Amino acid sequence: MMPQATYETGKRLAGRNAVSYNFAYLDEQTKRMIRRSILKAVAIPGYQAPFGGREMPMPYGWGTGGIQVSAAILGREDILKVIDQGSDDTTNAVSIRAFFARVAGVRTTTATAEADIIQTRHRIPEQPLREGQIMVYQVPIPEPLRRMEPSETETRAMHALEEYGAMHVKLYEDIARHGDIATSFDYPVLVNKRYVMSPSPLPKFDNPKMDQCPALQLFGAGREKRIYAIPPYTSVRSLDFEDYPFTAQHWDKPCAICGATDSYLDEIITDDAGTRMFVCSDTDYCGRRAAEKRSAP
Amino acid sequence: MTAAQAAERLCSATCVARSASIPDGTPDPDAEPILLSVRGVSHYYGARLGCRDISFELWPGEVLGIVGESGSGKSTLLNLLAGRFPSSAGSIHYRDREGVLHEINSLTEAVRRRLLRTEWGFVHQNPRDGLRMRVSGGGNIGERLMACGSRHYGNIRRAALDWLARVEIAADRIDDRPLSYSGGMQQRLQIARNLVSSPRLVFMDEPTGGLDVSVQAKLLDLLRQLVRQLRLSVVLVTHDLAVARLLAHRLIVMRRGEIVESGLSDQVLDDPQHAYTQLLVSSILQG
Amino acid sequence: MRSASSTIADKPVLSVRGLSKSFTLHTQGGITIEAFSGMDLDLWKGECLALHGPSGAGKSTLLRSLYANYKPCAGSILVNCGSRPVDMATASPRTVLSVRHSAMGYVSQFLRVIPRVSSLDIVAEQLTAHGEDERSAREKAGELLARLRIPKRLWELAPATFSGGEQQRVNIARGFIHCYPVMLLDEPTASLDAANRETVVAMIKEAKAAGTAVVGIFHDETVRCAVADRVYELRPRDARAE
Repeated sequence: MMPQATYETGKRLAGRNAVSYNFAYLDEQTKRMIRRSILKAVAIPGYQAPFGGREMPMPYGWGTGGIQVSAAILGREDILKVIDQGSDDTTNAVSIRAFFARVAGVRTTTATAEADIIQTRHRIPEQPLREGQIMVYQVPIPEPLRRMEPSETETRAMHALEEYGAMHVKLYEDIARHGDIATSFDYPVLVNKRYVMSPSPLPKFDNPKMDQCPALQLFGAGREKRIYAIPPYTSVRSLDFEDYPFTAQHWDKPCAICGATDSYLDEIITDDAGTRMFVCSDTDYCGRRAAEKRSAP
Repeated sequence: MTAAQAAERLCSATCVARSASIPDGTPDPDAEPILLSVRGVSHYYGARLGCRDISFELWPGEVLGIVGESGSGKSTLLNLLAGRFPSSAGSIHYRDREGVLHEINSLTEAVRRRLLRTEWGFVHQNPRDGLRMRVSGGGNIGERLMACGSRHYGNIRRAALDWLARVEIAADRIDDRPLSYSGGMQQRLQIARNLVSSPRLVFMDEPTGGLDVSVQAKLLDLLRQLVRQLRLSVVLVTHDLAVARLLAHRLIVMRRGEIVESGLSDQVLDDPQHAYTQLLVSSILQG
Repeated sequence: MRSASSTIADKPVLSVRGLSKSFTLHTQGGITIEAFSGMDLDLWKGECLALHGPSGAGKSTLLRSLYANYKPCAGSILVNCGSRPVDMATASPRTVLSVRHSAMGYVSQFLRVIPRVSSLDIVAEQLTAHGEDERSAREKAGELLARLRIPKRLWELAPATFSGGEQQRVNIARGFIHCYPVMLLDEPTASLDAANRETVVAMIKEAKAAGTAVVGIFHDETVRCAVADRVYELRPRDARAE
């Protein structure tokens, strides 16, 4: 199945609602304010810049931070892709895509290569990103030190003074308890050799993709009103110990649908008997590979 | 210690042991560089007095006891020394490992925190104030090492095990959280957590305060040994004169925020000069 | 003053001039009790001076003042053992501790028990504090405890539960294991039986032979006669007041 651009639909909807909404829902003042925070975040890679988060027409936890960032950077000619758990067709992804199609009239897509802006919650697409693309992450808890240190004043001081001992204590505890670093999501990284940053609920499988990535990566936390960023081609190193180096997850089996051996796999239970299969979490990548396989002689 | 140093020490030891005279060139102890110098320090909480016109010196390897009743300004002074808040007047100078002199009141937060994790330790009366209760014993000890840049799990683990043994906590408790430790064990863990990065100066606020008498004895003996072995300088705040006698070389007696008497520990306790010290000694030792 | 080039042997190791001590008891209406005043004495290398006088004459107070455990009101206590003489009456606490460490031993009447530390370690610590390695320090400590007839089964125990005599012998071993230029002894044989008394007398004589100068309070006349070269008489307070 080839992805279908929905430009026409978006244009029609936008025309109908032009009286009700400013382009991309937020007013221009708010967008400017958010852009200033984004610029600050880009200038200080990994630093959590505060911004005056607005109420959005959806509850916190549904990606309000990411949506505000997307709204602030979206241009009329941009093509938007939204994924949730790697999938383009889950409720959250469909809703957010429909939201922007309606309030901005932009074209949307499911094809990674075609997208200018990709809003995501849990995954980075398998297909390598390119220059000019922007990843927008929806972040629930932006502060990587929070689990060790409850005080915001203290965590800010810790960032300012590069006091990251506590972060390694967390990894130490993992090894002491599980024999290895068991953290598999939201695995802390050091950005540009300076700030420790939370990659949101990303599986650590995707951590290496952030390093020296040609695309700009923006992170928005709606509830906590923080924006942080990784500019293109920035060093992103996953924290680890010399004798327990960082390793990404890997699977013994290939994807049951497309046969990929290099992608992040979801475990799916297919019947009441508990039959399991492992398939790519990135539906666009999987579908494309399956189609190529079918068309190959 | 190198073999040469060991040989030198051994040689000087036999020299001392064999005859009843001491070798010439005994260094003047007062000529040694001062570690901590406190001059005319006062602190007010608004209009209320915390402490007034406190002056003293602390040398390397020396344990200074600050005694007095609760409310006498002991803890205020300790917090001022550790730079937890600036004093209203006076100066506090600390000489670091490299010989650099720092004025505590005008330290930047970055330097203060660096001193706190590399050169100093702070042992709180309540171990909960000095430990991460949700982190294992090993993690608590390892934190300062990791904060100082240690990135080898095996080495951190070894250091943690070594320190657990030194503070007499069984090795198999290393992965347990301090919540499951007894009060005495928590206090010993707090001490290990502070000493693992070889600080030079340790502030102790009633370290035996909340413990049973039998547990206190064990902790005191441990502190006494560690202070000697590591040649630590300690500022020890206590209201327990027996603790002060056992651990401190010198004592400062405080009342209503001021020093009323100071001197050699056994002299202050056995031949107190000031009326308040006499009262303190007679009431506590008889009680 | 003599010139700095004069040797230690020319001078007394301990020289006391005009020493006075009184206690002001603030908690009891500020009354002042005089222990002694205007005291002069010299002590030379290898000799033993016995302090003598009735109870309350200030013998223990004098001994404690020499050790700077009590703070004299006037006078000087010159200790002439190191490269420079030190006045214990006015020296800084750190200098006092340094003199105590290098030049002055003190055997008190009672052992101040340190919780949890074994008898052997209490004695051995005196050697390790002077740089001796732990193994040989413990070995020597064991020899001395054996000489003072402390049964080996007690060595690893803290002396808190020992009898008075046993505690006192641990105390003596602790004081004598390191050879100090000056030793202050406060009734070292008070609670000892005849055999142990003999041992202690022999130890004092050996220390003197090694050059130690001793100031002691010896209640037992035979012990006093056996070790003392001179006797310093302290008069009771009442007699002096007249």
